[in-house]
Parts: sequence; C-alpha cells; structure tokens
Amino acid sequence: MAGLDGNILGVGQLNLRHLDNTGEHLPADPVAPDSLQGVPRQQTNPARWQGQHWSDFCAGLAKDDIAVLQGHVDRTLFHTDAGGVAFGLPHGVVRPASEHDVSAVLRAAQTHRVPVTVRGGGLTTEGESVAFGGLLLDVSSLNRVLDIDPNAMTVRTEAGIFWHSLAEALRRQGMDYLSAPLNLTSSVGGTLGVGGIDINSPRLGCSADQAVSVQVVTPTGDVVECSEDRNPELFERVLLGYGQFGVIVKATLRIRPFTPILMRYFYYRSLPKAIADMQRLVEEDAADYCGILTMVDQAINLLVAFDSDEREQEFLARHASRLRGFSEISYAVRAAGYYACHPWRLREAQFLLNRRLELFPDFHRSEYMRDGKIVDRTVVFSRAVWKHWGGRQMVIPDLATNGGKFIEAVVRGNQVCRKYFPYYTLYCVGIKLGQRRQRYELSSIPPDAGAFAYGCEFEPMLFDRTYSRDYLQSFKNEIYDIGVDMQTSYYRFGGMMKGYIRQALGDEVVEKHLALKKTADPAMILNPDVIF
Amino acid sequence: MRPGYESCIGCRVCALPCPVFRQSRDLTLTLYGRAWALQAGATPAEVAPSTLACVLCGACEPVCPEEIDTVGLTVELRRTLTSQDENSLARMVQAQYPFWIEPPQVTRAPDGQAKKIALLASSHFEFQADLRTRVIEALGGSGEVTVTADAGDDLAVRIEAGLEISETRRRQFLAGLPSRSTVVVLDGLLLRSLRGWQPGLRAMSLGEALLRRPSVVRALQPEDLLVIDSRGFHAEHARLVKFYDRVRTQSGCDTNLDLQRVAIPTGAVSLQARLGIGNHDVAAQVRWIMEGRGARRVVVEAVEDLAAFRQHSRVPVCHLAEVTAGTGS
Repeated sequence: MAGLDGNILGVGQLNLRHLDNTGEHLPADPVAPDSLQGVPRQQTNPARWQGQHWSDFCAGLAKDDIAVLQGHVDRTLFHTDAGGVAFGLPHGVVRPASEHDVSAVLRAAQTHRVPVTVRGGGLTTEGESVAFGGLLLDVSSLNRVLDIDPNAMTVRTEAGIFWHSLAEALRRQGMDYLSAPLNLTSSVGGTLGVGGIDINSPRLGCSADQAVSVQVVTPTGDVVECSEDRNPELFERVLLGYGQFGVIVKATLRIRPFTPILMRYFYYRSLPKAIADMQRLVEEDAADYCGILTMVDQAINLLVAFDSDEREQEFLARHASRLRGFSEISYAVRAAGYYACHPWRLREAQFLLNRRLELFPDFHRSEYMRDGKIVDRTVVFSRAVWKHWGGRQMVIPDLATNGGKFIEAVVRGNQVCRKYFPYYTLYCVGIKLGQRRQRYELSSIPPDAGAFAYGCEFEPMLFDRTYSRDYLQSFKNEIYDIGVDMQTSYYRFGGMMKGYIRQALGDEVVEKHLALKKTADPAMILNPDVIF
Repeated sequence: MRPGYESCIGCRVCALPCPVFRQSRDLTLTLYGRAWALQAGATPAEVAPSTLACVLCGACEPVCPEEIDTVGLTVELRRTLTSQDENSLARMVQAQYPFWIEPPQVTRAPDGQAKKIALLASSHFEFQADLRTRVIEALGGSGEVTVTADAGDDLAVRIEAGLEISETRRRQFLAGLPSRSTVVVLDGLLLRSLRGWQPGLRAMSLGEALLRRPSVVRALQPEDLLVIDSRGFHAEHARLVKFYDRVRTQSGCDTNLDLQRVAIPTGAVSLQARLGIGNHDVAAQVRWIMEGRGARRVVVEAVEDLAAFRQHSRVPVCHLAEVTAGTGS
C-alpha cells in the first residue's frame, strides 16, 4: 500500500506487527485517481496507544469470565462505519451481556490504559465508532426491552437495542417511541449520546430529550442511574455527550400511543421560500411532522404529516393556503416549462423524472398504507434512505443554526454541494428546544438558538463512484467553514471533523469539557478521538 | 444474477428480522456478519459457525436494500463447507439420516390426465394422514388434487444441507411434475429452487394455494393469528406481501409479519431443528410471535409449526387446511 512504507515516510518501522503476526492487513483505502499519492491514510501517530498491556488487560477480563474475541471474523465486522471512509481494526471485541460486563471492561481499561471504542448501530460517518486498535465494545448485544409501562407511558430498555427493534416491541402494546432517527439500525444509546433528529423533532425535540433516566457505566466502571433528579450532572453530561462521559447501558424513555400518519407534500423551486415556509410551520406548530428534502436545486419537497385527522384539518384551514409550494401536478407543469426553456439541463430533468419514478412508489407501498395513511413511517423512510441514498460511502456534513441564520447557511451549503457533486440531497428539519439545558453546551444545538434550532444535512449522491478521502474531506471542510464563518454548530463534529470543535464552539467550552473529561476518565480511554 | 456478498454496504437491516441475531445477539451470525467477513478476506471455513447457525428463513432477503441473494449466498457457503467442515450439516445428514437424501423409488408414472393441482408433500405428512386428507379436501378434493409420487424431499434436504444435486436427479424430478398443473410445494427452499429450475412452472406454497380458496379466507377469524411460512413467503416476497395484505384485510386476522412485513419464523422447519442440533430456540420464537398479539387461535401454514405452537403456546392451534372444518376454534 502506497505510503505505508516506513522508509518513504521516514518514521521508521510502523507498528503493524500485531496485524502482521496473524497474517492480516488493514483493509485497503479507497484511493481514487484524484487523491494525493504517497500520503499515508492510516493514522500512524506514534503517540497513540501501541498495544501496551493488551495481554494483561485480556487476562484480567478472563478472570471475570468476559471473553475478548480476537478472531479475524469478530474484528473485521467493525473495520469501518456507515461513512465508509475511516478504516481501523480493534485488537479485540467484547459483546457485553450486562452492565456488569461493561463495568469490568472499563475498570480494566483504566488500569491498563487500553482504549475502548463503544459501538451500537455503527452509523457514524466520521469514524467515531471505528476502533484504531484497542477494544471495541459491541453494545448491540444489550438489546432487550425490559419493561413497557402503559400507565407511566415509559419504556425501560437496554440501550444497545436498535430503535426498530424497540418499535417492534412497543407496537405489540399499541405504543411508539416519541422521536428517533429515520434509520432502522440506529441504537438507542448512540442516539441519546448525540441527540437524534426525527421529522417530528419540531414538535417533540431531539431524541435525547425523551429520556427520563439512563443507567450509565462511567469511564471508571461505576454503574450509576441518573435522571433530572438523581445524579443530574452526569445525566446532563452523557446526553449529547458523544460518548465521552460514560456508556449508556439502559434507558427509560417516554412513549406515546401509536398512530399512523397522513403525509402531504408541497413542491418548491426556491430553496429560501421552502425553508421560510418550513420555519413558519415549525414555529406555529402547524404540523406534527415537518421537513424538507431536495432532489435537485429546482425540486424541493416540503413534507408535512399529521397524527390525527383533526390536526390535518386544522392545518388545511389555517396554514396550507399560506404556503408557497405547489401541488405535484402544478409543480410538474412548471418544471416541464422550465426545462423546455433550458434544454441544456435535460439531463437534470431526466434525473428528476427517474428519481420521481423510483423513489415515490417506495413512500406509498400498499403494504405500509392503511386508509391512505402511512403505517410504520420509520420503516418506510429508512428503507428509502438505504435503498436510494445508501452506499459504501456516506458523507453527510451538516450545519445547525438558529432560526435567523438558517436560510443563509443552507443556501451557502447548497452552493458548496453544487461545486463538488452533480447530485445531492438536502434534508432540513427544525428541533424544538425546551429550557436551555447543560447537555446542549458541547453539542449540535447552537448556543444562540431560541425556542427552535434548525439543522440541514448535505448529502451528496455518490452512486457507484468512489471518491477519494481528500475530495470528500475538502467538501466537508467547505461546509464546516460556513459554520465557522457564521458561528453555527454541527451534528457531526466528532471523529475526522473534530478539528472544527474549537473553532466552532470556542476554547472556553472545550476546555471546560476537557477538564470534566479528564476528571471522569483519568486514563482518557473511553471513545478516544471522537472529541478528545 | 442477483448481487452477492461483495455488494453488502453494512447497513445491518438484515439483522433486524434475523431470528439467530435475536437469540444470540451476535452480529457475526447474521448475513451482514458473513458478508463483511468475506469482504475482509475471511474464508468460508472462518464463517462456518455463522453459515451453520442460519435457519434459512429468508427474512433477510426482502429487507436488503442491495437486493443481495442472501439465501443463495448462505446455501452456497454451505456447499463449500461440505468437504471441509466436520460439523457441516451435510456431513451430519450423511452420517445420521442417509435415507433423507436418497431419491425416492418411483415406480408410478405421472398421471396421464393432469389434475388442477399437484401436491409435493410426502414426508411432511408422514405421521399425519388425517392432515394430508384435510389438505387435499381444502385444495378442492381428490378430483382436483394429485399427490406426486416424487415430492423432492431428498432435494429439499440437499439444498438446505449444501449437498450437490446431480443433473440426472434434477431432471428426473422435473420430469415427474405435471406441466399443466399448479404445483404446490410445502418446502420453501425447494419452491425457491423450483422457480429457478423451471421458470415457466406455476408453483406456489401450500399457504398461498389454500388462501386462494375463498372458503379458507372466509373461515379465518379476526381473533386468529395466521402464521405464514417464512420460507415460502420470502421466496417471492414482493408479490406475496401484497397477497397476504389482502388476506389480512378480508379476514381481519393478524399475521406473524413484523413491521418490515417479513414473516417471523419459528425455525421449526429448519434442518437444525429436525436434526436436533444448534442453539436455535423454537420456543423463544413462538413466544416472540405471540407476544402482545392477543390471538385466540393460531393457524399455521407449515406442518412443522403445528407441533411448535401446540407445545409452546396456550391457545388452540390448527393448520390452515383445517380452518374450514372449524378445527381449533
């Protein structure tokens, strides 16, 4: 592999011995022709952990009957995350059976200073859940639903569970969670650790805000139950804490009665108009679900949805007529006129038409519809996301702003997308904020947001083309530069994007959290390289 | 040709309905686990525990956004293990039940006058002659149904165990199928293969064949839980998911479909269950299927599920062929 030769790098023999001993190698990087030849793409910082005390660490865990899986198959399962850009292998994997296993792992890790990377759904895009050596804690094994309480309207669950699996259990009781990412394989714990955005976040806030209490294993191995009343400091640290202050192993979440939803679409040709309309709907609480999804710059879809007929009727009576979007037919006529006058953009028109024909039927599959309403919206959306946007590489830089800055941020980000990729999708959503909480301090929630924050994800459609990391990184950097310039925040600021944290959130906040982290995690072993 | 393991993007959606993951909590035992290990250079022998743990219910196939041939991939991996792994299903079958993979001694020629339905079902009714009679009656009676002399039981076992099927035997089997009949197949893996072997053949699962009889659908009750045979269902999911949705709407009954509209399997039809090996817990699957559904009667399509539900659930259980007779009410 170019660039991994010690002589070329001039840093002597690189420490790949532990891999070479087993005849294995790190997976090849996706290096495209446009990348810089000769530049190393595996992290080779000699100051990083180099395998010290690994044997002692494993031996200690063996005494607790905890198996550290070090086989090829066990480790390669985690060689990258959903982003598909960062690659690394753990020395070993533990699949904990309980919080006690997690506790034993973290105690041993502190003793032997072995880095521990926690992985739930593995849906990070910046390598946050990829272990570059050390131990990978695969908490997807903690996936039992413990108790559904219809009186308290709460569910107690192990936190490694995928949201979809939780939904399967809740639905048997006629219940549903409040809000969760539109992805079937996001884990509850991972989501609570970063926030979690749903198309009902304009009404219900981010996913982390539905947590009533969580059981946390601290970096030093203490098992602590925390909530707004019990150990509130830790509660505020672990929610949106990017895994720095503990492993969430159990969670009690608010739930609600399940309802199918009725979806309506409005089509725009102007991004600022669509965003302004969405913001008005969000701030007037006009819909139960609301978000923007773009196809091309000329095709912007504002979707709204309702949990009840009453809410829909109220929307139609009070809000619909003020929206500047078109119905699908009206939009199609206008789009046809536009492309007829701009024949050099026929390829874009063809793309739009194909996208319409491929994508929309998946939102209306009869088996997921009842009486014109979508049942299991997460399944419908997640299937569509994976089928029509998914791939080996996923790059989704984002910007999170207050209401006043949002249109400018999105428009500027859109220009960056246009510069780098022929096709891309923007996903915009509002997030209701309650009282200002400590948990928002070092998070995607912008410090200057009022009652609502807004987020936009910029997702290039990569199709089957492999882009170099350099190219993708340049794209992400340009998006994040907008954030620095406009003093906004980001959802994905960890891992490979952590260089932006100080620029975006300021030294004071970062130093405060670094000090807290050093106190909570003396050996700095938990989720290294995500933030600290 | 459908995509193989190299197309897996690692979304892990296949793990969600996987009964093996549900019980083991081990992603290496899922299709995702096999595919990613192979992508990273693992040998078939290294993924053997995963290959052998799979109950081939096929639930992972319709949910895969890359449309990977998940069942085909796993069967293919089993084939590579036959000569390598002492614990392979193939070796166990050959050692313990060699008669399972012996071709039948067919002396009777196919019926000269083809009937409407040809039922491939010999071993499934080995100890259940009454049920066999019920099935034939429910499908239209002996005037419309013929039971083929060669049910392809050996082929079904060979497919599942990863044993080779000779071209001679395959041709012999296909030659025995009445070309103008609808072929009703009880084994979902055989049904899947049959469609590939003879694309023009009109073949369907027993469940679908029965539910095409209006009297059967009418006999289903809103309090019933219809347990769809997962293998047959997932073999042609895109069409059948809409078919069963209509059945559900017409009858009001519940089904064992999950939120992704794949059928939760018991695993009772698997070779592991029949051999009594492996860690798959049929009882746990039955409990999960029943949980919170409030069913007052269980109606099963797969003959093997009759025993599973009778043993592990507390409500009356009957086969779909028996609902018109009010059995289990």
